[in-house]
Amino acid sequence: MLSDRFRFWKIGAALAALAVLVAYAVRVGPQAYPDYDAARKDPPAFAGRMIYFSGDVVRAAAEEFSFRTGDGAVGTARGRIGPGQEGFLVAGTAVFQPAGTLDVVRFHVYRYRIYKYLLAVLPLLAVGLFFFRTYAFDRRAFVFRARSR
Amino acid sequence: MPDLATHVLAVTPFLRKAARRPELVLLGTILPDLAGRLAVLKPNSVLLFWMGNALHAPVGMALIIYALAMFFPREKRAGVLAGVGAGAAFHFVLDLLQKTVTFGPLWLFPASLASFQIPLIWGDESFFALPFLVLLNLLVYALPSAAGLKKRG
Repeated sequence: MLSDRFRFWKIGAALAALAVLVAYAVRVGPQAYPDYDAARKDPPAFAGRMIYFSGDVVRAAAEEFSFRTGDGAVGTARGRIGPGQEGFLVAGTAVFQPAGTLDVVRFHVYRYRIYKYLLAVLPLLAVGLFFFRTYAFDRRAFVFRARSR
Repeated sequence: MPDLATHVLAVTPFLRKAARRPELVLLGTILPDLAGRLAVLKPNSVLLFWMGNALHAPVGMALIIYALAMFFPREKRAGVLAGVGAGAAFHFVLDLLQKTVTFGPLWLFPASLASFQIPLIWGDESFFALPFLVLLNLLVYALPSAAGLKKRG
């Protein structure tokens, strides 16, 4: 399994298996976890069903809030989100109403998401640097070899 | 997912003596998020979102690590599988501990789309653990070195 025999075929088989996994996920994932973007395109099919939603908060009122999805659509959800949440990512589960609004069941406002992304840069650089200081890619043999120290 | 800094600093204390190839374990620690967060590139893409979920699952990650190992010399491949695999396993343990209101990693994918968590901390709040992790790393790395210097001095 780890030998050099048919090495590129083995890599190809692993990548092909990954492609099958991805295709399967794209096919069954949205059915298992329907989201707001799918529901708003076909409201009768999703009326009364539990769906997932996420988007940036654009308006936060006392009893409801609006959010903008990745598609740019704006959804309205009934639920207490509290003031001052505009601009933050909100995600949760809700019951989709025939009129296109949501009755929120659970939600969380990801107020610190920006720090999470900022904090990802340093470890990425550090690990990348550490790895490429230890290994160099041998283009002739197509393998990573440990650099001589 | 917790942030990458938390992922890395949570694993580094174990690397002091346990790992002969720390760079491989560290690569494994960040690899699930490198592969699994492709949706960051285009947030409204259903394809990228579910591609990320498939690649971030243990089976998808095992295939990626296997393909990666095949890009190393034959005698190193078992070590790459072990090192990167251990890092990825550590990553998944931390991911298991996060709260979610939607769904977390698909642990059993493709056998099942079920997602289960041990909800301890929100993914975006994990960096609150960083001061403790920095302290832990200092205790593990700096104190023994300082003690060694004092002893020799």
